Amino acid sequence: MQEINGVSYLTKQIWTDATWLRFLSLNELGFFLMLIAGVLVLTFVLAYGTFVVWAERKVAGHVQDRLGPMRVGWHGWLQTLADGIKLMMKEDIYPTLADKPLFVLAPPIVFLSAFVGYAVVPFSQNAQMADLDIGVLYIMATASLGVIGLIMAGWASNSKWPLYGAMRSAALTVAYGIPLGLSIIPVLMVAGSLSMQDLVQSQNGGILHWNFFRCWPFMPLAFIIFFISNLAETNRVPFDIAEAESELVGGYHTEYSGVSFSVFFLAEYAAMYLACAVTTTLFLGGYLPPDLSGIPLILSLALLGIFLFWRFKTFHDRSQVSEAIFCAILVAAITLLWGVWPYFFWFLAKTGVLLYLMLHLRWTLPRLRIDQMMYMCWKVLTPVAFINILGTGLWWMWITGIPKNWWPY
Amino acid sequence: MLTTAIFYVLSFVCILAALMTVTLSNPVSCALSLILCLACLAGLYAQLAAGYVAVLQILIYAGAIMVLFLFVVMLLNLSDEEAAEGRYDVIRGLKGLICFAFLVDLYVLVEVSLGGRIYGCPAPGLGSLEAIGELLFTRYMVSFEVISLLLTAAVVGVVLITRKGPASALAAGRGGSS
Repeated sequence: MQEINGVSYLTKQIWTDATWLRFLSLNELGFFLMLIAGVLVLTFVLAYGTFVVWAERKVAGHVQDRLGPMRVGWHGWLQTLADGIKLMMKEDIYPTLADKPLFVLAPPIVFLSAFVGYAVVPFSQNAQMADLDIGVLYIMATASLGVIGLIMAGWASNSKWPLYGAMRSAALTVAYGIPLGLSIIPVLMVAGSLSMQDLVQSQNGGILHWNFFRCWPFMPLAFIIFFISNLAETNRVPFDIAEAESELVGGYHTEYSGVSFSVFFLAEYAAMYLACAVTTTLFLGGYLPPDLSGIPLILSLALLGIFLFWRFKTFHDRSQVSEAIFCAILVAAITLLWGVWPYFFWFLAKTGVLLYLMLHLRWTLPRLRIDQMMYMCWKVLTPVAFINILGTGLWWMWITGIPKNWWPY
Repeated sequence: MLTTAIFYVLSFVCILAALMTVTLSNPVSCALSLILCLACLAGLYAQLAAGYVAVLQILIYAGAIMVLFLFVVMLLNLSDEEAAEGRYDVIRGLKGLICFAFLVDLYVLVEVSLGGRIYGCPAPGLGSLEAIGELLFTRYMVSFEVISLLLTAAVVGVVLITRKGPASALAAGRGGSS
């Protein structure tokens, strides 16, 4: 692997990546380590979720020409923490006629289906819990289980709107699942593997080797189909018809309150980040740096400097302490990540861009009707994905030539 | 030791879920128990080093087919099965007899056909992606293609059956129901 920049060269001997996160055999020690790694990933998901909820509210505010949360901390960056504490102190209400075991079980199952997918996400070259040879399929399988949690929630609530929401999400699963599965096949054909590490390594060699920039126009088309299907899978606008608040009150989570309600939201953000991580791995080179020889480093440091200069110039004393903490965390995080774990930094940066795209789309696009959604999934995305597979296959055959043993007999 | 413990937990939950599938009265609970049973089966496949089969089990059965089951159950809004009355009638007796026959059949299959031998772990890599792919495209290629043709015919048949009215109505609009 090539070096990324000078800082990483200095610290590489000390602590390259989180090498100790990697273990494949499941003995007692491996089981114990896996528990620790699970807790680490859970912490990451919680921290990231907290941040993304705040970011979403800020994006929403600025899109609608408001400021968004401003009270708790500098520009409201601690707002999610305050909301979380508030939700935890609220009463958990169970409807009298609800099917109680299913009602209680549903939120954990939704969260679990998003969370177990993180086991194969390659945060970096070594920071991956298990490099399964079927990594992509594993994530798709576990993510598809989330719908069962939604259906459980909708059914157990014993109320009209949740049931409608559950039925809509059940009908949608089949509709978006097919283009989702078909759109990754071009990438798998080019990489020749389903393992997440192999998929990343097949895009090694700079930004022009990333799948998104190869094989125009087929790969970008696959990227778009995959991204749209992922929006549908994570119940995001414009495809959030399972919880459409203007039609179904709150969809499957209408009857939930307190902590169980917040678990649904945490699960949504965990699933969103997982979707962005898979998209990055498949199409944007995963954790690999863009390899533009130092230009991004200089640019980003300059941008950071300008940002800090601007902030400290307009320093006002009302939120001094909070702002100082925010800036310190930001600088420390970027320095640490860039210097010590450059791959991890690039992974976070790429997923961050995709995540921002999801947030921005939510606050700019109107919601689709269910029949429009069905039409799009079945009659537009699925045929296009099939044509895409054919095109990529022909392109790949043109590049590599027809294999000599193409006829198996 | 840990592997053995996981095996016993998975087997126990699997059997328990299978029993719940046939004994619970609420159809949605039955379907959810079946999902649990299938998930435990996937875990057992994974313990046999057949990760591909395990993942497909979850992706196709638990993730797609069972979701359709649940959808249909909710669409029909089935209520709890009536218990008690007519519990021991002839039809129920016949059902029980058929189930018992299947159990005996299974026993005969294992005892007589396999000679009572308990087969251990299959050869490593048997359920892997490469092994299955190679088998599908070499040894079982003809049957694989025939099945795909059959499925295509089934899809065309479903489209023909479900569409209402003559072909001109279908061409006129995107459905025209709502």
